[in-house]
Amino acid sequence: MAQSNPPFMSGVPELLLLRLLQQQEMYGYDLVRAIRRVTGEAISLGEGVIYPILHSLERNGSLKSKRKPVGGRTRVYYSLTRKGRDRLDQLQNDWRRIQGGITTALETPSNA
Amino acid sequence: MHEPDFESVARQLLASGIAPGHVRRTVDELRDHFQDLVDETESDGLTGNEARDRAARMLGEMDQFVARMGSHDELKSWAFKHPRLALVVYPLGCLALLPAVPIIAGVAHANEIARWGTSFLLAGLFTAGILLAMQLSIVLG
Repeated sequence: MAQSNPPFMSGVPELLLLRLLQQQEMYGYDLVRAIRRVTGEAISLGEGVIYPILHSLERNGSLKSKRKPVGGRTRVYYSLTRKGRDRLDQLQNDWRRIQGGITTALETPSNA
Repeated sequence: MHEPDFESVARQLLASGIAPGHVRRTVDELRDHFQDLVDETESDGLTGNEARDRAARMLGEMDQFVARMGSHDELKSWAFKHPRLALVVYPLGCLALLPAVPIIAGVAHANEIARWGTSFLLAGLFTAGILLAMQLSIVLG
């Protein structure tokens, strides 16, 4: 039976956040800038959009957070957990499957 | 608008059922993010209120932020999700904790209690000394 497509567009911020946090721990402002940078400005999340997603990912165990004093301010840094790495693998596989399917559809002549 | 009303955001998040721990951290993060945006706009050449206005616009509408946060049920507090159960469990919990309250208060205010006790002891000793001196003066006088 064919796998059903996940709501992949709504999962894009989650995928990008997990991917970035796989490389290093980061805080909110840093993450918004990094997403713009790594997607070549193709994806630009609203400044406040990521916090509900970060908290939600932390709640389900995909991320952990810790407060760090930096330059007289206390920042909340997020990092990936083992569960988060598994979730990232799953999202990456879903994304590649969908991307492959769309590429195939676009390359198939429309009268086929 | 020079700066979003973060206290109001906290109140709205609590009213929408978000757990207090998430509310506190979210507001701290938003404040920090806003300050980063102010720094960014100032490095672009804006100053003072102009920079803060731009930063507030970049941060976005706080009403929309609250609505977005409120759409995540997993961030809601236990009491908000189960209000009837909370009405039973919280009073019972309070009753169970009642005997421990004096101990907790004693530990929390140990320094004040120690100072207060020492003052009473010294005052008692001083009064006893005066009474003893008076008694001796009567007996020996």
